[in-house]
Amino acid sequence: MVYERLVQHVAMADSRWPISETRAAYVVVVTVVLVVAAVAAPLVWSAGSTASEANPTVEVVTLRGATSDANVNAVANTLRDARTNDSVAAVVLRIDSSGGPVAPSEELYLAVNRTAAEMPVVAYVEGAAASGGYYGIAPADAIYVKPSSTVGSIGVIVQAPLSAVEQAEQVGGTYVRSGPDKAQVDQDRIREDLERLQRAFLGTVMRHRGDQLTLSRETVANGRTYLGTQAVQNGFADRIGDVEAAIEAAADRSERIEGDEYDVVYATQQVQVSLTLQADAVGEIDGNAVYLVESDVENGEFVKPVQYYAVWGVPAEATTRGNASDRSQGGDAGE
Amino acid sequence: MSDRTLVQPVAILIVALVVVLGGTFVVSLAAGPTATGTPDGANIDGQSPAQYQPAAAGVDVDPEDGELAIEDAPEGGEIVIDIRRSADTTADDLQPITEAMFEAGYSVTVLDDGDDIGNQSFGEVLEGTAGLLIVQPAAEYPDGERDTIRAYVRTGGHAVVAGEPTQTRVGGGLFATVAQVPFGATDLVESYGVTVGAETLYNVDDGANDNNFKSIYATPSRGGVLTEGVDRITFDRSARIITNDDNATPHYTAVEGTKTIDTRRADTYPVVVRSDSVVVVGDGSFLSQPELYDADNEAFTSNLVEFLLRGDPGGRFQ
Repeated sequence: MVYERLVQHVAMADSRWPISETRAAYVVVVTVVLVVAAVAAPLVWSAGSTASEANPTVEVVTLRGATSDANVNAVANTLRDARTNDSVAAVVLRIDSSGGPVAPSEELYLAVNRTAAEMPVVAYVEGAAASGGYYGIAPADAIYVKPSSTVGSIGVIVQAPLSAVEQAEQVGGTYVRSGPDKAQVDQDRIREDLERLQRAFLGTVMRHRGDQLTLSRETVANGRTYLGTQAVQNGFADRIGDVEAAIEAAADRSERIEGDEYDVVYATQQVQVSLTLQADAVGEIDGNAVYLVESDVENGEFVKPVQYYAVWGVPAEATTRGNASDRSQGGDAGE
Repeated sequence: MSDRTLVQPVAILIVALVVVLGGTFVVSLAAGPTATGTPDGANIDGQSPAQYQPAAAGVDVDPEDGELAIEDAPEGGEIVIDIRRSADTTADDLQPITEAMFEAGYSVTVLDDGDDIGNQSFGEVLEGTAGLLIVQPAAEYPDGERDTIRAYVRTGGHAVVAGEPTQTRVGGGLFATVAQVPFGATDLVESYGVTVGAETLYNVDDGANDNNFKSIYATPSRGGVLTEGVDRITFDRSARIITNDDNATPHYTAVEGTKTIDTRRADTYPVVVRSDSVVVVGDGSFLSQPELYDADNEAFTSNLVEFLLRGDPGGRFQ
């Protein structure tokens, strides 16, 4: 009825707009198509998306490099996407990291821990998962290693230049401070704070791996690293295997995956910023975007006196000295 | 209006709707799911984990409320503190001790470098003093001074040697040098049946260290002037004291679980040993801040100073 009224209305208007009934009908058809498409298309799209979840996925998230702010932020974002994506049924965390500052290492742990609370997470240690790297994979449901994988190094290091500790009191005299501990670096306080961070780290490892570890809490606290084969024996890792084995293990642990009816997705977003070269220039990290600003360190009056690291390694200063010596010797030989 | 006029547009309408909606469905299948699944909301279990809570991660800090007081020693005595061969102890570091002695009416001479002696011999400096405290000797005493100290002790003087294990020292500059610095008064103390072990002691048990694995606790193993008023002391870089003479008796031993850092042997190692008038301590850092007031270190330091002041100042040993 509505259609006929419309056609009559158009026919009555023929005297002013010379248009045929047929053309008027087409105009109505096109209009209706557009309206219906605009309203119904999203619903149809949603139905299509849901229908495409027939094969749940195992997402492989990769962290290669330090557990720095940028790297951990990228991995945390990827894990967040995985958690909010209904098609992702399990995660494999592929890692090659010797750790980094304590703060982002804790962030990595919390991100993995939250993900593991919602879906199976299996870690695959591609190269190393030491110190802060192991901190991150501790909550994983299973840890897969190769014979050459390095895990362990449970402990914290503080970087506080000796000169800063020794001169804090003298330098403090040139400023007016609000309290005796303001802007001061004290060896006892550093040690206490280091111990607090160590206990949180060690407690995390014992909480998540305590049932598997055959080592005592004190032995774990020694901070030793273990290669893959030994790690499987002492409980730092669960199985020897490659990334495919880890993917299969993750799929097996998912209630949403039956047999081999699953797809594998390799997450690609990675951001790596060299801490030693560009950390001072990182002004803001928003999602996967790292905003760099011009360094004002040279003009700054204050610097952060203490840095806490959960890292497996030796101070770069030592290797720099060695390299400097090597370069010098090489230069002499060349000349 | 004819039937054809009506049917044709309606047919086109149906076909167009099928094409548009069907096409959308097919494209959405190909595109796969979008990130609009489970909300990433609250009610998260485990994001404030138990091991992060203060009860688990908090540390016990030894109160630094003791007092360094010299109260139980003969009046008016004098001691000498020799830091000429010390690796990193300065006269300023020892000010709490010298001030406490001054306050109690005692005298102290600190030998910081060779110039402090001037034209005097080492023996002349020791003349009339009750005790000699040697802190962190990193180099051997020359034969003459070593003989002087032995004579000083033999004639009634008291001596305390606060040593340390072998340590690595890194020199500055572009071509940094790394050197192993051993205890430097081995020949001196060995004549009293005592030597200082090369290995640093450590303890990783949270309840058995002062918030660092190298800051070990030690407890008295017998009564006497050295242990009076002390429940527990802490040494920041301690060696074990090795004896081969029954006359050398341990007065403090490291708590259970303490190990040597290289050989990883656990024992209740002696860290303070007395051999008559000579006391050998496995650490030298406790004499200055920030270690001086940790645990009962200040009481132990007071005891050591009182022990030194009880030496015989009238001995003729040259």
